[in-house]
Amino acid sequence: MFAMRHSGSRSPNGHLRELPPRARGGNVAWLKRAEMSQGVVLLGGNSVTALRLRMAQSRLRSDLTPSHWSVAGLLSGTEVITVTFDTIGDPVEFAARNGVTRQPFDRFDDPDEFPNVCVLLFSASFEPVLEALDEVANGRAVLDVPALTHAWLEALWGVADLDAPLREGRGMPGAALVELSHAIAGIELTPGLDSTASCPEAIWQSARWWTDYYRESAAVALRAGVSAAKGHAQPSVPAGAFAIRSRLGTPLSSSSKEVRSK
Amino acid sequence: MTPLLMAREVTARSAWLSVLWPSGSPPQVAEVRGGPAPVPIPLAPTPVPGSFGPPAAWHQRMELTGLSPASDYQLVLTESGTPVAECRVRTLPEGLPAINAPLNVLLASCYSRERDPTGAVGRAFLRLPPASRPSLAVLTGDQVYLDTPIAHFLFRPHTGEQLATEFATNYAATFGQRFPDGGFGALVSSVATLMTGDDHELWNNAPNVAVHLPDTWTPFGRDAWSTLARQLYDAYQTPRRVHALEIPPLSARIVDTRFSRSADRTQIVDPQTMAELVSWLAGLTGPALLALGQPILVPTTGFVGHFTDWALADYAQYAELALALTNVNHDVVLVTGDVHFGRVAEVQLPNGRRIVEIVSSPMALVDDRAGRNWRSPPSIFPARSIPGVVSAPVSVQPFQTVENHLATLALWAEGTSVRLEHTCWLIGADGSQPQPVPGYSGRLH
Repeated sequence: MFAMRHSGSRSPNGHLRELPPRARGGNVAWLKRAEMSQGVVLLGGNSVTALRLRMAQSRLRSDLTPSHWSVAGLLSGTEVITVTFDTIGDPVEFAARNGVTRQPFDRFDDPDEFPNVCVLLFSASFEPVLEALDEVANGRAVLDVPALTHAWLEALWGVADLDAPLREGRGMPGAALVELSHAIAGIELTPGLDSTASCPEAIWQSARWWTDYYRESAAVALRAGVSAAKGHAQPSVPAGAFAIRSRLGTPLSSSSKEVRSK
Repeated sequence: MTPLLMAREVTARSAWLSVLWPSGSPPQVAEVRGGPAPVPIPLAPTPVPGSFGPPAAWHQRMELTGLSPASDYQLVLTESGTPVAECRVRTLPEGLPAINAPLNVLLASCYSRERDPTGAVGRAFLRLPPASRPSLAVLTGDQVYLDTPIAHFLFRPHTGEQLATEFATNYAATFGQRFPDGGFGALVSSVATLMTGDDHELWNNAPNVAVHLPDTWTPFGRDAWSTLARQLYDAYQTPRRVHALEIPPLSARIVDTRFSRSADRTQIVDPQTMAELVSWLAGLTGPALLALGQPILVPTTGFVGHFTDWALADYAQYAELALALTNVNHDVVLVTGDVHFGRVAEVQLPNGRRIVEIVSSPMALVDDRAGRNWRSPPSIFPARSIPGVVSAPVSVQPFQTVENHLATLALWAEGTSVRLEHTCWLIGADGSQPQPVPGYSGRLH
């Protein structure tokens, strides 16, 4: 079994705002309105692959509805650095770059293909996270993306149970990349997980419900004299914006706060 | 009881000795021979225990100086010129040796004398092959079970005098257990031994109330029990709660996590000790070894902790320790016991450093109902959310056992790194043929 711990917060993070999409507006336009050019980007897709990934994370939601998210990556300017299953290409070349790809954000522009979008910042200083990314991309000893990808392809193809990777503590590759880059920079991205099952839903819930945790983390880092010069990012209460156009299932009226409020 | 001579804290050039005299009058003339010169013992012994009735023994500590590094000494305690006890001690090297002569350290915990009537543990220790014979022992708690036999303490309170007699008898029988070829007493007098305590040096789940022990139900009862237990621990084991060893490139700390624990689950050690521990971890210039009374790779206990034993993760101060451990700049091997199984697990920290936790328990299982139950560690460290602490994945090594055992750690230097070879020695029925089982093997940076 795997599940999220409850944060104890009674209300969602006020620094995370809903920015409704405009009619006929794409995600590039939405991002421009959000006025954010770096951070963690979450996307929720509508393809069968995306829907299966969203379904696989439903156990992390107390009412078992599918997650809004299927992709996690790092946003750097107009690029998204992530691992996606539909761009694997040559298998050996994929392994050689540890699965990490840089894709233009406009590849995710179509709201019919990616109806849900979110950008989050867990630190005002994002450079240490990007620096750490190089370490992850350059060595499978730090994070073995092909091994995670293998486990998730088995799940996507029905060779293994859909939620088997998360049950076994194998995170979704893009989310694991995002989480480890933050971890090396000194920021915990999924305090609600009791395993290594990184996934977009866990990151979403951290930003949404773990406000007090990040406030205390910021205070601890301040006392410890954390500085970017040491390769560490100063944690802060997550801030960002989101737009949700696609919900798979209606939350129950008795659902807990994690579900009812997004 | 006969006199006891035991080596405790040791350095490259000195050793602390612990002397226990039987009840009655301490001797007028005594000395320790076998060092650079005979050393008279300053006869100002402390009564043990010092409360609740007449003493059962007399205790004193003395430091033997002027020793040579990495050298063996066979020491003899004499009373009016007559040998009455002996012990062996090997001084530490000034630096960690090379592969041809590794520093062997014994690691063990959880010894029930009642369950080892034939002295199998000591016999197994004496029969370790010469290449694995330890120069130093680290015992990480529950060297005695003061709250056993359970039936004796169950649902019946005792006077302070009764507790004093029972505890003193328990200690004398445990540390004095001798057979021609074994006994726990042979172990603790054959090697310099550093110790931490755990709950059974006091009582199960101390300092909290133990439901099945009426003697712990009142503050007065707990005070009486813990006063006696501390006096005996200080005398037979050690009065020190922290031991520091510097054997470059290795730095080591053996830290008691029981005697300063608070019942409200805030404190594992006193704040000064925690500050020193945090400072030591932050300032490491090479690999480190940390010995604690309980594992750190554990989940929180939850409500059941009121009836069993609270784990380190249940204490507020665990957050400070976890924060310090996840920010180390060198690898740390953490050795511990308590849980009645052998296990090796490794934390891969985000900064590339590792924490390797080696659990060695028990030497002699106290009760079959309290063992034979191996458990995996949580899949991440720390197992609860701690602000400022980045969690890290935990992997479990293949080695595991629930049998009575000792462990040896062979340590040698490879440049600025430390090589560690961990071997578990299954004691078996009588300890006559300890069986080696490979444990952890790796290089610490």
